[in-house]
Amino acid sequence: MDLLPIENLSPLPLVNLSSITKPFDGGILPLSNYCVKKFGSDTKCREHYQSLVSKPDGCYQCPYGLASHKFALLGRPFAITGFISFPRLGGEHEAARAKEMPAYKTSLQIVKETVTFFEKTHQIARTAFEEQLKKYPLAFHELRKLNGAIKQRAEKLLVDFGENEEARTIHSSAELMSNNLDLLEIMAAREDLIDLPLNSTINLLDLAYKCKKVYQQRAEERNLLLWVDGNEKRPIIQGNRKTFPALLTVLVENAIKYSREKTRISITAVMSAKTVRLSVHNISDIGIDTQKCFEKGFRSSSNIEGSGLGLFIAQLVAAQHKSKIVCEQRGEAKTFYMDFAIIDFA
Amino acid sequence: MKRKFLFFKEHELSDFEPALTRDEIIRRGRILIVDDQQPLLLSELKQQGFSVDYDSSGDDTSNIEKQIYDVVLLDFGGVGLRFGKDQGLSLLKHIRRVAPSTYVLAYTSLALHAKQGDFFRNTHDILEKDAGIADSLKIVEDALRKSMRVQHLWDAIVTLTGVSPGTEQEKQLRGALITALEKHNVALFKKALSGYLHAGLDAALEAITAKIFTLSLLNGPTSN
Repeated sequence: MDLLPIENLSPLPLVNLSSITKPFDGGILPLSNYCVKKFGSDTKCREHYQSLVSKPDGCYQCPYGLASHKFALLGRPFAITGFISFPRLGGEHEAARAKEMPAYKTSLQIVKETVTFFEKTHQIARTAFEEQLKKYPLAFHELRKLNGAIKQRAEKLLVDFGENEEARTIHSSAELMSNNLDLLEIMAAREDLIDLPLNSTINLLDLAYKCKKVYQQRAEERNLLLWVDGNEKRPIIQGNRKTFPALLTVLVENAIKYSREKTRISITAVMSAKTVRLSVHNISDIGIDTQKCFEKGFRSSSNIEGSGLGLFIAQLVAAQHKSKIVCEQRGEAKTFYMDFAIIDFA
Repeated sequence: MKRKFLFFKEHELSDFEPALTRDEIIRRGRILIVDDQQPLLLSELKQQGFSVDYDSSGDDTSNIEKQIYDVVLLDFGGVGLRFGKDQGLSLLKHIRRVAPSTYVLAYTSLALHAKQGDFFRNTHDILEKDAGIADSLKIVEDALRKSMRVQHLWDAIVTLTGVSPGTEQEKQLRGALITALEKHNVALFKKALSGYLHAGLDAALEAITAKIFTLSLLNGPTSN
């Protein structure tokens, strides 16, 4: 579930710091005429909002003496803005603005409570959304049946008539659809599915090669090279066939979304004595919080599409498989890895 | 004599696991698909040479009870209604009870709630309805291979006889099986089993026992 349109919920003017435009009118207080004029006439307002992006949450004064209270919601930065703070922040022009715009004097405490209101509203909406998801098993079922028919027929075309770009595209798209349905299903029934037994055997390299095949086209659209590597012997682990593939799906999809163009994404399965380390490595200019990235709803970038649930789900699946995903960051190089016990070799 | 004892080795059941080629698995294996809607996979399996039957309701389980099928692909919805309101889950419970040697794949794309999660928990593996043909064939072949493992068939015997795993009785029976396998003497094992049960073997036990000895001949022990 994505962010609610909080621009429509704020009682005070609000600016989305991920995509800076003229601040939205508040439900109680619209953006003042003063601010409307200033935003349109010079660049200082925009520069002020841009400077807020890298600052910690808190209250800051704009060049014209008005206050902007910066906060984050689901990892995305916003600011309630265009008001005169009480207690005063001090600084040039604040007194002048306070005299001109008495209606915009606002207690900082109220501003902070507004932020709390956003967070609570989101929590309620998310819970309701997840409850709704539980009511969609039949919808998943019908989608999967249809998707399965498309996938299998595309596969038959490829087998019967040889390699064909259209059939391959249809097949890959159907595989992508399966992956997305798997993730949705896990999100909708987390406790049930993560509780399932590890009664299948998973060939990690086979899974990695399949993942490469499915995501090849997407990777190419961003000029990325998808690479799979591993030992000659193919390690097999105990796993759940329904949930385990989602783990690799999330990591590879994220790598494709966040990687710098014209770089390589490596999926490797490297064995040591009794374990195998499955890793996804990529190059990205976007920094990542290696701990928080697994938190529900956390997103490393507001400019890239996503729900903030993928890594959270992936970590749950890893735990189901008695493992843990570790995120490492060395400058632009990012690696996600997890270890599993080997039970056999293919 | 001394030389013989030098090379004497105590066998485990794993020593009798058959080394089956893909062709042999396809030739020997029998599959049943229970699904209220005939899947494309049925014709694909037949095309690949698998012996596969289809049942749209799961009402008649007589062949399952005869241990005829090595693998059953079991749907959840619209089947097994004769066995209870939980449909495929009710049928699954019956199959696990009467034919524990049959390897059951949960063949459904239904996203299940917790109370239906037993369906996944009590099957041996999962085959999603929207899996590709190649993936499906691989999973079915893998299931057939596992269904023909001596260890798996022994576990089925343990279930049917009611002997508790890990107990002295189970160890003795397993020892009797190993001895009989070493001598390729099925009657020897049947005698031991009858002795334990204080009765003759029923049809299910007869079938599973016969299967163990047939398969074990395909890769006997190398010592002695």
